[in-house]
Amino acid sequence: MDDDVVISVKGMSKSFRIMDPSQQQNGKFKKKVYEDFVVFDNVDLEVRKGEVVGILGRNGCGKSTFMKIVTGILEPDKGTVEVKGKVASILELSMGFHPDLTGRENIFLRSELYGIPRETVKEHIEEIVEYSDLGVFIDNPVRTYSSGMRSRLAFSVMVNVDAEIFMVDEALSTGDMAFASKASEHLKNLVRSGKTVLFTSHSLNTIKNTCTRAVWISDHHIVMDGPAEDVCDAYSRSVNESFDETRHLAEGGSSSAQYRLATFYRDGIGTERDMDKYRFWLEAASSREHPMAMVDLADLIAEEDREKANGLYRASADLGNNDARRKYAMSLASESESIGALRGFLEDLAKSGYPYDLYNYGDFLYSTATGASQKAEAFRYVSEASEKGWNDADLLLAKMYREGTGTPKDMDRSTEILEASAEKGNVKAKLQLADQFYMGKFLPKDHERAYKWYLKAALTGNLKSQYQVAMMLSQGDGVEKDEDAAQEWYARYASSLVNDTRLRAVDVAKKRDHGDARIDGMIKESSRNYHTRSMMALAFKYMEGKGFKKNPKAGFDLMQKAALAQGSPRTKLAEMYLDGKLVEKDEQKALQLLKDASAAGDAKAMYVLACMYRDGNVVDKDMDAYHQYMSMAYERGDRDAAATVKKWRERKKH
Amino acid sequence: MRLNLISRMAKSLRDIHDNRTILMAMIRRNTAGRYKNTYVGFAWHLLLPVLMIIVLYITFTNIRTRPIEDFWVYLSSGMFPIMFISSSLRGRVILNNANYITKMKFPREIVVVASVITDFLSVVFAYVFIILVILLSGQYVDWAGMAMIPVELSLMLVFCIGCSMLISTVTVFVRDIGYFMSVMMRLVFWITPTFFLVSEAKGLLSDIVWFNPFTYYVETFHQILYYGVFPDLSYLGISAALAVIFLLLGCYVFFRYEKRFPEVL
Repeated sequence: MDDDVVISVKGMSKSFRIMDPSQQQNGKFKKKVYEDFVVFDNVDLEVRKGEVVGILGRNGCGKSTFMKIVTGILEPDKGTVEVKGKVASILELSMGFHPDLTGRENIFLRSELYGIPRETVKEHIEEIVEYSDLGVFIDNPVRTYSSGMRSRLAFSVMVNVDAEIFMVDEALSTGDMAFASKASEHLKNLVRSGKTVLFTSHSLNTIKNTCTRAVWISDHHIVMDGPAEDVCDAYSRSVNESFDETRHLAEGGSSSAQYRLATFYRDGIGTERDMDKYRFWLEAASSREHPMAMVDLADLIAEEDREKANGLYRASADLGNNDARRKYAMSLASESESIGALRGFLEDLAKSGYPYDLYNYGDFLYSTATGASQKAEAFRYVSEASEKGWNDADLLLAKMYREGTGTPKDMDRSTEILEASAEKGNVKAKLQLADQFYMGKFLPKDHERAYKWYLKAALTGNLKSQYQVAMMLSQGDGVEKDEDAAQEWYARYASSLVNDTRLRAVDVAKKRDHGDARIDGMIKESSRNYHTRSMMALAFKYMEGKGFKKNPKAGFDLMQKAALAQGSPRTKLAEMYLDGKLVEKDEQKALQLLKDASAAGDAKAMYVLACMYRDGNVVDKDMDAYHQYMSMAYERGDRDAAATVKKWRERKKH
Repeated sequence: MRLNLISRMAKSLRDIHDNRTILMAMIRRNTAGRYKNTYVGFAWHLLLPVLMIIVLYITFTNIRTRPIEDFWVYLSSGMFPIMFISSSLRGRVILNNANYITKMKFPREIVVVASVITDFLSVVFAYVFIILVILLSGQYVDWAGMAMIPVELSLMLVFCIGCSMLISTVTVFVRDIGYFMSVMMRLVFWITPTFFLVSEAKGLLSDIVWFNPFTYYVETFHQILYYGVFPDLSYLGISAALAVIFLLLGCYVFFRYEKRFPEVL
């Protein structure tokens, strides 16, 4: 064994003999027929000195068996288990207490069971008593203790046990918060002093906070072994998505599992879609006062029984569910005129088919939907707005796919939409994707892809992304470690924080038409930090020769960089391609840029496009497209477009 | 024989010695825990057998008159071994300590040894007490015979450890044995010469009484304390042989199957 390796399990297999259940009759065994129940099949594991290893797995996967094999209580059928150093096993904290003896007497008893001589215990008894924090209870029989107090007593004994390896099974799950943190602090102390700890718990948080490494056992094997956080995340995802596990828990009466099971039936995850079962489990969960189940059930029945639905919203709202509060208010209000009028107004606007209006109406429906049909309608509007290139609609649509609002749940589709939107230049989508990959939320954790998206967003001046990029670079997380690059990004982040303030100064200066060198310097600095607006301002200054030596080429380059972002810089760049002064004329490229910019919501681009369709310039003449783009530009507040649209309306009147 | 019994037993002795703290803790747990929250406390350990003797004495002298001279001496000198043996043969030791067996890594035989020693302490106290009473009441004693009491007690301890290892192991796998043994112990009580003289036994009893291994231990104590003579060497020899045989048998069965305890319990 390598010097550092203290536990070495090689090719370990273990099975138990169990009775064949088909032979069992009336609880007696008529004829004994045994079957081998395999717990482990050829498992390897090495634990190094000083590691704190959490062991995860569903009930009955063999966590405890594994601990017992390492401790030496059970023997493996095959393979070897080598352990270096003294092992203290705390496989169950309440083990071996005599209920009639006092806490103090039990400290002696238990310490001796750990092999600590009575004299040594006598020396430390006051220390142990103090650590247990049991006060006067220490001289009362243990049978009068709560389970939390028993854990405290047991743990305080363990503190005194000296060994190289500690095995802790489910130990920290009881006891009050203060004690749990004390216990976990002690475990950390053990680790700091170079002790090795193996430890199982149902609380993923405990494992995350305490362990350096985690091992996930399932189907006789170690299915994952790595940093505690990663393994915990993967495990919790698998548990949440496991249909069988969820059904088991749901049948056992867990309301959150019942709710999850209902959504499985709704979305057809791990089973056939079945709306009757969806409703059945929703009813089960909401009868156990699961707030989200109550809201969903109310949504489901809103159309057939509004009164009952309102009651459910009300009850869920009383449990503190904000969604329910809003829906209850909406449901009551929808009968009133004002909200009805608002809906009618938004609906009328949406009839125009403009993405902005479609999105607005979809968003309104999404947040007020009280029934399945309304949700479906919201979905229809939002997906239409998204198809027409509305950025915010992409985000909402992705969210609806993720939640399964108005459509079956489809995580892949949700990710696809976000990715497409981000590729198109939607910074919010980039950031969301990056966050999801980074935290492993909704998506499998993938720091490399997270880094990629953070970097893209950072290049367009997003503050949070700049910080993330810097951090990931400095930790070598998802990207090769590069301290210099990290420093650069940190600096950018720091100055980006003040960029917006700077730019305000620039704007003020522009109005007064000062050629202030300081302000020019600021702009230059900000633009170095990929601050889009500063880059544009600087580009203009280069082109016009204001404050800097005139350098149209540099201005163009900068504008190109700024166009990485979205919207208005792209329009500017397109204009440059169109007039062909700074760069070779390229109408197709200009057209593409304009389309991108208009999809990203830039009004100026829409206006320019509209003019192109009107005049048959670059594109074929298309009056419908002209009207559409012009109205869109108007909606977004473009002044030139506003003048045009006003003219149309006056003409219509006559 | 895959198991090298002798070296395994030697290792076990070393293990018990190394883990004597655990052994002491278990004995203490058995004794201190048992009479906790009583007024008399640990004295019950002595009081219980003495009261038992008194009850039997009253039963067999006043209710069903038996013409045995100094019946109380006869009764008390032979009753303790049988009480000791039957308490250590109940067979549920390992089952009752499943908590330790499945959750702690330690020499498992300690559980059995601790349990037998706990009962043994009770017998020793009872004998110390009864010998004092016998001496004070002016009964005739043979001092050479008296010197054999510790020897015979030790043999009985070894015998009981062996039996307990055997029966408690079997009970783990066939739990019915535990209940069967409590009935058997009642039978043993009636066929062991504790309240009748061996010479009185008639019919079937006179045949089986010598097949009963416990008879040899009881009779040895009768000879020393009641008859006041040096015990029959053949009784001593048979006691010793039984102790060795049952210890070997018990250890063999125990060590052969102990690895499966944590799985079965």
